[in-house]
Amino acid sequence: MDLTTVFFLIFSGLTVGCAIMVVVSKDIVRSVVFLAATFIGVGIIYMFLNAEYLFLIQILVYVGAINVLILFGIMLTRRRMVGDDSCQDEESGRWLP
Amino acid sequence: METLYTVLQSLSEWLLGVIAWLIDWTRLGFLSGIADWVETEPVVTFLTTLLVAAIYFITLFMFGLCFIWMERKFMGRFMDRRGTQVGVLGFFQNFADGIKTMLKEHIIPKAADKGLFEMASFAIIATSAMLLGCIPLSPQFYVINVDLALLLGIAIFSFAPFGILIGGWSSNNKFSLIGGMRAAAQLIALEIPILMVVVSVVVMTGSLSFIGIVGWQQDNIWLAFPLFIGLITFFVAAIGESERVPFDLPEAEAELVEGWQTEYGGFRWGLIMLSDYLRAYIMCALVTMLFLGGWDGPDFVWAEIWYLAKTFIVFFFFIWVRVAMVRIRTDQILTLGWRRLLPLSIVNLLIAIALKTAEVF
Repeated sequence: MDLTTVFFLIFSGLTVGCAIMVVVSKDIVRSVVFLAATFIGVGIIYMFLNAEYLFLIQILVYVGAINVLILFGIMLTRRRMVGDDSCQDEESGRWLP
Repeated sequence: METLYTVLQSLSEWLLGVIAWLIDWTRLGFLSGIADWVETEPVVTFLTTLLVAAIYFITLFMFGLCFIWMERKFMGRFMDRRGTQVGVLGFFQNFADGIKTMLKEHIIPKAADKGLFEMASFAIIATSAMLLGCIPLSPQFYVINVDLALLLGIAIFSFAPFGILIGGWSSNNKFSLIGGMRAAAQLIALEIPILMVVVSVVVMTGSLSFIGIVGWQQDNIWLAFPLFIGLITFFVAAIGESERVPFDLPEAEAELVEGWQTEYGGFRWGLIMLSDYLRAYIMCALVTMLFLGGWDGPDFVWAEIWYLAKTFIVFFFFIWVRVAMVRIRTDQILTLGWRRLLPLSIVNLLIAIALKTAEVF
Protein backbone atom coordinates (compact mmCIF):
# COMPACT_ATOMS: atom_id res chain seq x y z
CA MET A 1 0.00 0.00 0.00
CA ASP A 2 1.59 3.23 -1.06
CA LEU A 3 1.44 6.55 0.79
CA THR A 4 -1.31 8.03 -1.39
CA THR A 5 -3.66 5.18 -0.57
CA VAL A 6 -2.94 5.52 3.14
CA PHE A 7 -3.69 9.24 3.11
CA PHE A 8 -6.78 8.69 0.98
CA LEU A 9 -8.08 6.16 3.49
CA ILE A 10 -7.34 8.50 6.41
CA PHE A 11 -9.10 11.48 4.86
CA SER A 12 -12.07 9.54 3.53
CA GLY A 13 -12.47 7.92 6.95
CA LEU A 14 -12.43 11.34 8.61
CA THR A 15 -14.99 12.62 6.10
CA VAL A 16 -17.36 9.72 6.74
CA GLY A 17 -16.85 10.07 10.50
CA CYS A 18 -17.69 13.79 10.38
CA ALA A 19 -20.73 13.08 8.22
CA ILE A 20 -21.98 10.60 10.83
CA MET A 21 -21.28 13.12 13.61
CA VAL A 22 -23.49 15.69 11.80
CA VAL A 23 -26.45 13.39 12.39
CA VAL A 24 -25.43 12.07 15.81
CA SER A 25 -24.45 15.34 17.50
CA LYS A 26 -26.94 16.72 20.03
CA ASP A 27 -26.02 20.38 19.60
CA ILE A 28 -27.15 21.81 16.28
CA VAL A 29 -24.29 24.34 16.03
CA ARG A 30 -21.78 21.52 16.54
CA SER A 31 -23.54 19.72 13.69
CA VAL A 32 -22.80 22.69 11.44
CA VAL A 33 -19.13 22.60 12.43
CA PHE A 34 -18.98 18.90 11.56
CA LEU A 35 -20.75 19.69 8.28
CA ALA A 36 -17.98 22.18 7.49
CA ALA A 37 -15.41 19.48 8.25
CA THR A 38 -17.28 17.12 5.92
CA PHE A 39 -17.20 19.68 3.11
CA ILE A 40 -13.46 20.19 3.60
CA GLY A 41 -12.97 16.42 3.58
CA VAL A 42 -14.84 16.09 0.30
CA GLY A 43 -12.66 18.92 -1.06
CA ILE A 44 -9.52 16.99 -0.04
CA ILE A 45 -10.83 13.96 -1.94
CA TYR A 46 -11.16 16.23 -4.99
CA MET A 47 -7.48 17.05 -4.47
CA PHE A 48 -6.67 13.32 -4.67
CA LEU A 49 -8.36 13.35 -8.09
CA ASN A 50 -6.09 16.26 -9.18
CA ALA A 51 -9.04 18.67 -9.39
CA GLU A 52 -7.56 21.71 -7.60
CA TYR A 53 -10.04 24.16 -9.09
CA LEU A 54 -12.99 22.09 -7.88
CA PHE A 55 -11.38 21.91 -4.42
CA LEU A 56 -11.05 25.69 -4.16
CA ILE A 57 -14.59 26.30 -5.41
CA GLN A 58 -15.83 23.70 -2.92
CA ILE A 59 -14.12 25.58 -0.07
CA LEU A 60 -15.27 28.98 -1.34
CA VAL A 61 -18.92 28.06 -1.92
CA TYR A 62 -19.70 25.39 0.65
CA VAL A 63 -17.54 26.30 3.65
CA GLY A 64 -17.52 30.05 3.01
CA ALA A 65 -21.11 30.64 1.96
CA ILE A 66 -23.48 27.70 2.46
CA ASN A 67 -22.28 26.96 5.98
CA VAL A 68 -22.60 30.57 7.09
CA LEU A 69 -26.07 30.63 5.54
CA ILE A 70 -27.05 27.55 7.58
CA LEU A 71 -25.59 29.16 10.73
CA PHE A 72 -27.61 32.31 10.05
CA GLY A 73 -30.69 30.17 9.60
CA ILE A 74 -30.07 28.50 12.97
CA MET A 75 -29.29 31.68 14.85
CA LEU A 76 -32.09 33.82 13.43
CA THR A 77 -34.77 31.26 14.25
CA ARG A 78 -35.64 30.05 17.73
CA ARG A 79 -34.17 26.68 18.49
CA ARG A 80 -36.87 25.99 21.05
CA MET A 81 -40.23 26.53 19.42
CA VAL A 82 -42.35 25.76 22.50
CA GLY A 83 -41.87 27.12 26.02
CA ASP A 84 -41.58 30.57 27.50
CA ASP A 85 -40.18 33.58 25.76
CA SER A 86 -37.00 33.93 27.83
CA CYS A 87 -33.77 34.14 25.91
CA GLN A 88 -31.79 32.16 28.49
CA ASP A 89 -31.91 28.43 29.02
CA GLU A 90 -32.79 27.59 32.63
CA GLU A 91 -30.59 24.49 33.09
CA SER A 92 -27.37 25.59 31.43
CA GLY A 93 -27.71 29.36 31.67
CA ARG A 94 -26.71 29.50 28.00
CA TRP A 95 -28.02 32.35 25.85
CA LEU A 96 -30.21 30.81 23.23
CA PRO A 97 -29.24 31.66 19.69
CA MET B 1 16.41 32.68 -11.83
CA GLU B 2 17.39 32.86 -8.18
CA THR B 3 14.27 32.56 -6.06
CA LEU B 4 13.98 32.43 -2.28
CA TYR B 5 13.53 28.68 -2.57
CA THR B 6 16.67 27.99 -4.61
CA VAL B 7 18.82 30.22 -2.39
CA LEU B 8 17.62 28.47 0.74
CA GLN B 9 17.98 25.08 -0.97
CA SER B 10 21.68 25.65 -1.56
CA LEU B 11 22.00 26.98 2.00
CA SER B 12 20.38 23.89 3.51
CA GLU B 13 22.46 21.59 1.26
CA TRP B 14 25.58 23.26 2.63
CA LEU B 15 24.27 23.09 6.20
CA LEU B 16 23.43 19.40 5.98
CA GLY B 17 26.80 18.75 4.37
CA VAL B 18 28.48 20.34 7.39
CA ILE B 19 26.35 18.23 9.73
CA ALA B 20 27.26 15.04 7.81
CA TRP B 21 30.95 15.98 7.94
CA LEU B 22 30.71 16.56 11.70
CA ILE B 23 29.08 13.15 12.18
CA ASP B 24 31.82 11.52 10.09
CA TRP B 25 34.47 13.36 12.10
CA THR B 26 33.30 11.75 15.38
CA ARG B 27 34.14 8.32 13.83
CA LEU B 28 31.30 6.59 15.67
CA GLY B 29 30.36 3.60 13.55
CA PHE B 30 26.69 3.49 14.36
CA LEU B 31 26.20 7.10 13.23
CA SER B 32 27.50 6.59 9.69
CA GLY B 33 24.06 5.58 8.42
CA ILE B 34 22.65 8.85 9.72
CA ALA B 35 25.41 10.80 7.98
CA ASP B 36 24.39 9.27 4.65
CA TRP B 37 20.70 9.78 5.32
CA VAL B 38 21.13 13.45 6.24
CA GLU B 39 22.38 14.33 2.76
CA THR B 40 19.54 12.65 0.84
CA GLU B 41 17.10 14.68 -1.20
CA PRO B 42 13.94 14.41 0.98
CA VAL B 43 15.78 15.79 4.02
CA VAL B 44 17.12 18.73 2.00
CA THR B 45 13.61 19.45 0.67
CA PHE B 46 12.14 19.25 4.15
CA LEU B 47 14.69 21.62 5.67
CA THR B 48 14.32 24.04 2.74
CA THR B 49 10.53 24.12 3.09
CA LEU B 50 10.88 24.74 6.81
CA LEU B 51 13.36 27.58 6.26
CA VAL B 52 11.24 29.20 3.53
CA ALA B 53 8.15 29.10 5.73
CA ALA B 54 10.02 30.45 8.76
CA ILE B 55 11.70 33.31 6.89
CA TYR B 56 8.53 34.33 5.06
CA PHE B 57 6.44 34.21 8.23
CA ILE B 58 8.93 36.21 10.30
CA THR B 59 9.22 38.84 7.55
CA LEU B 60 5.49 39.32 7.27
CA PHE B 61 5.04 39.17 11.06
CA MET B 62 7.37 42.15 11.27
CA PHE B 63 5.27 43.94 8.63
CA GLY B 64 2.22 43.28 10.80
CA LEU B 65 4.01 44.97 13.71
CA CYS B 66 5.00 47.85 11.41
CA PHE B 67 1.35 48.24 10.42
CA ILE B 68 0.27 48.50 14.07
CA TRP B 69 3.03 51.02 14.78
CA MET B 70 2.14 53.04 11.68
CA GLU B 71 -1.53 53.11 12.61
CA ARG B 72 -0.81 54.30 16.15
CA LYS B 73 1.68 56.95 15.10
CA PHE B 74 -0.29 58.28 12.13
CA MET B 75 -3.57 58.28 14.02
CA GLY B 76 -1.86 60.26 16.73
CA ARG B 77 -0.66 62.80 14.20
CA PHE B 78 -4.08 63.01 12.53
CA MET B 79 -5.65 63.67 15.94
CA ASP B 80 -3.01 66.26 16.80
CA ARG B 81 -1.29 64.22 19.50
CA ARG B 82 2.02 62.35 19.56
CA GLY B 83 1.02 58.69 19.50
CA THR B 84 3.18 56.02 21.13
CA GLN B 85 6.37 57.11 22.83
CA VAL B 86 8.22 53.94 23.94
CA GLY B 87 11.56 53.34 22.23
CA VAL B 88 12.67 54.57 18.81
CA LEU B 89 9.74 56.65 17.48
CA GLY B 90 7.42 54.59 19.67
CA PHE B 91 8.15 51.34 17.83
CA PHE B 92 8.83 49.29 20.97
CA GLN B 93 5.32 49.86 22.31
CA ASN B 94 4.20 46.91 20.15
CA PHE B 95 6.73 44.58 21.77
CA ALA B 96 5.71 45.82 25.22
CA ASP B 97 2.06 45.09 24.40
CA GLY B 98 2.95 41.68 22.98
CA ILE B 99 4.87 40.70 26.12
CA LYS B 100 2.00 42.01 28.24
CA THR B 101 -0.57 39.82 26.46
CA MET B 102 1.81 36.84 26.73
CA LEU B 103 1.97 37.22 30.51
CA LYS B 104 -1.82 37.21 30.96
CA GLU B 105 -3.72 34.10 31.95
CA HIS B 106 -5.74 32.23 29.32
CA ILE B 107 -9.29 32.16 30.61
CA ILE B 108 -12.17 30.15 29.14
CA PRO B 109 -15.57 31.33 30.40
CA LYS B 110 -17.30 28.73 32.57
CA ALA B 111 -20.51 28.65 30.55
CA ALA B 112 -18.75 28.72 27.17
CA ASP B 113 -18.71 25.85 24.71
CA LYS B 114 -15.05 25.02 25.36
CA GLY B 115 -14.17 23.03 22.26
CA LEU B 116 -15.72 25.44 19.80
CA PHE B 117 -14.37 28.44 21.73
CA GLU B 118 -10.81 27.17 21.22
CA MET B 119 -11.43 25.97 17.65
CA ALA B 120 -12.80 29.32 16.49
CA SER B 121 -9.73 31.24 17.65
CA PHE B 122 -7.44 28.67 16.02
CA ALA B 123 -9.45 28.85 12.78
CA ILE B 124 -9.22 32.63 12.57
CA ILE B 125 -5.53 32.91 13.52
CA ALA B 126 -4.42 29.97 11.36
CA THR B 127 -6.29 31.08 8.23
CA SER B 128 -4.90 34.60 8.58
CA ALA B 129 -1.38 33.20 8.83
CA MET B 130 -2.02 30.88 5.86
CA LEU B 131 -3.09 33.85 3.75
CA LEU B 132 0.37 35.34 4.12
CA GLY B 133 1.87 32.45 2.18
CA CYS B 134 -0.39 33.03 -0.83
CA ILE B 135 0.89 36.51 -1.58
CA PRO B 136 4.30 36.90 -3.25
CA LEU B 137 6.47 39.93 -2.57
CA SER B 138 8.19 39.75 -5.96
CA PRO B 139 8.80 37.18 -8.73
CA GLN B 140 11.76 35.94 -6.66
CA PHE B 141 10.50 36.25 -3.08
CA TYR B 142 7.52 33.95 -2.64
CA VAL B 143 6.41 30.75 -0.95
CA ILE B 144 3.95 29.25 -3.41
CA ASN B 145 3.39 30.14 -7.04
CA VAL B 146 0.48 28.05 -8.22
CA ASP B 147 -1.78 28.87 -11.16
CA LEU B 148 -4.79 29.44 -8.89
CA ALA B 149 -3.07 31.55 -6.19
CA LEU B 150 -5.68 34.34 -6.28
CA LEU B 151 -8.57 31.87 -5.95
CA LEU B 152 -6.69 30.07 -3.16
CA GLY B 153 -6.29 33.32 -1.24
CA ILE B 154 -9.96 34.21 -1.59
CA ALA B 155 -11.02 30.69 -0.60
CA ILE B 156 -8.93 30.88 2.58
CA PHE B 157 -10.24 34.38 3.25
CA SER B 158 -13.82 33.09 3.10
CA PHE B 159 -13.17 30.92 6.16
CA ALA B 160 -13.29 33.99 8.40
CA PRO B 161 -17.09 34.59 8.70
CA PHE B 162 -17.56 30.97 9.77
CA GLY B 163 -14.90 31.17 12.48
CA ILE B 164 -16.14 34.53 13.69
CA LEU B 165 -19.76 33.37 13.92
CA ILE B 166 -18.73 30.21 15.80
CA GLY B 167 -16.44 32.21 18.10
CA GLY B 168 -19.15 34.73 18.88
CA TRP B 169 -21.70 32.02 19.57
CA SER B 170 -19.50 29.76 21.68
CA SER B 171 -18.48 32.60 24.04
CA ASN B 172 -22.04 32.42 25.41
CA ASN B 173 -22.28 36.17 25.78
CA LYS B 174 -24.95 38.29 24.17
CA PHE B 175 -22.50 41.00 23.11
CA SER B 176 -20.20 38.55 21.38
CA LEU B 177 -23.16 36.83 19.69
CA ILE B 178 -24.45 40.14 18.32
CA GLY B 179 -20.92 41.07 17.25
CA GLY B 180 -20.46 37.73 15.51
CA MET B 181 -23.75 38.07 13.64
CA ARG B 182 -22.87 41.59 12.54
CA ALA B 183 -19.38 40.55 11.46
CA ALA B 184 -20.63 37.61 9.42
CA ALA B 185 -23.40 39.66 7.77
CA GLN B 186 -20.92 42.38 6.87
CA LEU B 187 -18.26 40.00 5.54
CA ILE B 188 -20.83 38.15 3.40
CA ALA B 189 -22.33 41.40 2.10
CA LEU B 190 -18.93 42.76 1.06
CA GLU B 191 -17.42 39.53 -0.24
CA ILE B 192 -19.62 39.54 -3.34
CA PRO B 193 -18.48 42.97 -4.64
CA ILE B 194 -14.89 41.88 -3.97
CA LEU B 195 -15.37 38.69 -5.99
CA MET B 196 -16.99 40.61 -8.86
CA VAL B 197 -14.08 43.06 -9.00
CA VAL B 198 -11.60 40.19 -8.88
CA VAL B 199 -13.46 38.59 -11.80
CA SER B 200 -13.07 41.82 -13.80
CA VAL B 201 -9.32 41.80 -13.11
CA VAL B 202 -9.12 38.16 -14.18
CA VAL B 203 -11.04 38.99 -17.38
CA MET B 204 -8.53 41.73 -18.20
CA THR B 205 -5.37 39.81 -17.39
CA GLY B 206 -6.43 36.26 -18.22
CA SER B 207 -4.49 34.87 -15.26
CA LEU B 208 -5.29 33.71 -11.73
CA SER B 209 -1.74 33.80 -10.37
CA PHE B 210 -0.38 36.98 -8.83
CA ILE B 211 2.81 36.82 -10.83
CA GLY B 212 0.79 36.53 -14.04
CA ILE B 213 -1.49 39.44 -13.11
CA VAL B 214 1.41 41.74 -12.24
CA GLY B 215 3.28 40.59 -15.35
CA TRP B 216 0.31 41.62 -17.52
CA GLN B 217 0.26 45.03 -15.85
CA GLN B 218 4.00 45.44 -16.43
CA ASP B 219 3.51 44.70 -20.12
CA ASN B 220 0.41 46.87 -20.62
CA ILE B 221 -0.97 49.34 -18.10
CA TRP B 222 -1.72 49.50 -14.38
CA LEU B 223 -5.30 48.33 -13.99
CA ALA B 224 -6.08 51.33 -11.75
CA PHE B 225 -6.50 53.44 -14.91
CA PRO B 226 -8.99 51.40 -16.99
CA LEU B 227 -10.76 49.94 -13.97
CA PHE B 228 -10.90 52.99 -11.71
CA ILE B 229 -14.46 52.17 -10.56
CA GLY B 230 -13.24 48.73 -9.59
CA LEU B 231 -10.38 50.21 -7.56
CA ILE B 232 -12.78 52.42 -5.56
CA THR B 233 -15.25 49.55 -5.02
CA PHE B 234 -12.49 47.18 -3.98
CA PHE B 235 -10.95 49.74 -1.64
CA VAL B 236 -14.24 50.38 0.20
CA ALA B 237 -15.05 46.67 0.39
CA ALA B 238 -11.50 45.92 1.56
CA ILE B 239 -11.86 48.29 4.52
CA GLY B 240 -15.11 46.52 5.38
CA GLU B 241 -13.58 43.07 5.03
CA SER B 242 -10.80 43.92 7.48
CA GLU B 243 -13.40 45.24 9.98
CA ARG B 244 -11.87 48.67 10.40
CA VAL B 245 -13.55 52.01 11.10
CA PRO B 246 -15.98 53.06 9.51
CA PHE B 247 -17.05 49.42 9.16
CA ASP B 248 -16.17 48.38 12.71
CA LEU B 249 -19.70 47.67 13.86
CA PRO B 250 -18.81 44.07 14.76
CA GLU B 251 -16.68 45.48 17.58
CA ALA B 252 -18.36 48.80 18.26
CA GLU B 253 -16.73 49.53 21.63
CA ALA B 254 -19.45 51.83 22.91
CA GLU B 255 -22.26 49.32 22.45
CA LEU B 256 -20.76 45.81 22.26
CA VAL B 257 -17.68 45.97 24.55
CA GLU B 258 -15.30 44.35 22.00
CA GLY B 259 -17.72 42.48 19.73
CA TRP B 260 -17.13 38.80 19.03
CA GLN B 261 -13.67 38.89 20.68
CA THR B 262 -15.00 40.05 24.07
CA GLU B 263 -14.38 36.77 25.91
CA TYR B 264 -10.95 36.05 24.45
CA GLY B 265 -8.08 37.04 26.66
CA GLY B 266 -4.34 36.80 27.04
CA PHE B 267 -2.10 35.83 24.19
CA ARG B 268 -5.06 34.35 22.29
CA TRP B 269 -6.54 37.84 22.05
CA GLY B 270 -3.16 39.28 21.14
CA LEU B 271 -2.91 36.89 18.20
CA ILE B 272 -6.49 37.64 17.12
CA MET B 273 -5.65 41.34 17.18
CA LEU B 274 -2.48 40.69 15.16
CA SER B 275 -4.46 38.60 12.68
CA ASP B 276 -6.81 41.58 12.21
CA TYR B 277 -3.81 43.61 11.10
CA LEU B 278 -2.53 40.75 8.96
CA ARG B 279 -5.91 40.71 7.20
CA ALA B 280 -5.63 44.46 6.69
CA TYR B 281 -2.18 43.82 5.20
CA ILE B 282 -3.62 41.14 2.90
CA MET B 283 -6.27 43.57 1.67
CA CYS B 284 -3.66 46.31 1.06
CA ALA B 285 -1.55 43.72 -0.77
CA LEU B 286 -4.51 42.73 -2.95
CA VAL B 287 -5.22 46.37 -3.86
CA THR B 288 -1.55 46.76 -4.75
CA MET B 289 -1.37 43.54 -6.75
CA LEU B 290 -4.61 43.84 -8.65
CA PHE B 291 -4.65 47.56 -9.45
CA LEU B 292 -1.40 49.33 -8.65
CA GLY B 293 1.00 47.15 -10.58
CA GLY B 294 2.42 45.17 -7.66
CA TRP B 295 6.22 45.31 -7.81
CA ASP B 296 6.24 47.27 -11.08
CA GLY B 297 8.47 50.32 -10.86
CA PRO B 298 11.76 51.89 -12.03
CA ASP B 299 14.73 49.60 -11.68
CA PHE B 300 16.95 51.50 -9.26
CA VAL B 301 15.65 49.71 -6.15
CA TRP B 302 14.52 46.14 -5.58
CA ALA B 303 11.06 45.03 -6.71
CA GLU B 304 10.18 44.12 -3.11
CA ILE B 305 10.76 47.72 -2.03
CA TRP B 306 8.31 49.01 -4.66
CA TYR B 307 5.73 46.49 -3.61
CA LEU B 308 6.07 47.31 0.09
CA ALA B 309 6.04 51.07 -0.56
CA LYS B 310 2.76 50.77 -2.47
CA THR B 311 1.26 48.55 0.23
CA PHE B 312 2.16 51.02 2.94
CA ILE B 313 0.70 53.91 0.91
CA VAL B 314 -2.58 51.99 0.56
CA PHE B 315 -2.54 51.36 4.30
CA PHE B 316 -1.97 55.10 4.85
CA PHE B 317 -5.28 55.67 3.04
CA PHE B 318 -6.89 53.05 5.29
CA ILE B 319 -5.74 55.04 8.34
CA TRP B 320 -6.91 58.28 6.78
CA VAL B 321 -10.39 56.85 6.19
CA ARG B 322 -10.41 55.51 9.75
CA VAL B 323 -9.66 58.89 11.26
CA ALA B 324 -11.95 60.90 9.00
CA MET B 325 -15.12 58.79 9.06
CA VAL B 326 -17.72 57.87 11.69
CA ARG B 327 -19.13 54.38 12.06
CA ILE B 328 -22.06 53.47 9.82
CA ARG B 329 -25.22 51.71 10.98
CA THR B 330 -26.10 48.08 10.32
CA ASP B 331 -28.90 48.90 7.85
CA GLN B 332 -26.64 51.40 6.08
CA ILE B 333 -23.92 48.80 5.60
CA LEU B 334 -26.34 46.42 3.94
CA THR B 335 -27.59 49.25 1.70
CA LEU B 336 -23.99 50.12 0.86
CA GLY B 337 -23.01 46.54 0.17
CA TRP B 338 -25.98 45.40 -1.88
CA ARG B 339 -27.28 48.62 -3.50
CA ARG B 340 -24.14 50.66 -4.12
CA LEU B 341 -21.07 48.44 -4.29
CA LEU B 342 -22.65 45.48 -6.10
CA PRO B 343 -24.03 47.57 -9.05
CA LEU B 344 -20.71 49.45 -9.22
CA SER B 345 -18.79 46.19 -9.40
CA ILE B 346 -21.10 44.92 -12.15
CA VAL B 347 -20.55 48.15 -14.14
CA ASN B 348 -16.84 47.62 -13.62
CA LEU B 349 -17.10 44.07 -14.91
CA LEU B 350 -18.97 45.32 -18.01
CA ILE B 351 -16.22 47.88 -18.65
CA ALA B 352 -13.61 45.15 -18.37
CA ILE B 353 -15.49 42.89 -20.78
CA ALA B 354 -16.00 45.78 -23.23
CA LEU B 355 -12.30 46.69 -23.15
CA LYS B 356 -11.34 43.07 -23.65
CA THR B 357 -13.83 42.55 -26.50
CA ALA B 358 -12.74 45.71 -28.28
CA GLU B 359 -9.13 44.50 -27.87
CA VAL B 360 -7.94 47.84 -26.51
CA PHE B 361 -5.19 46.04 -24.56
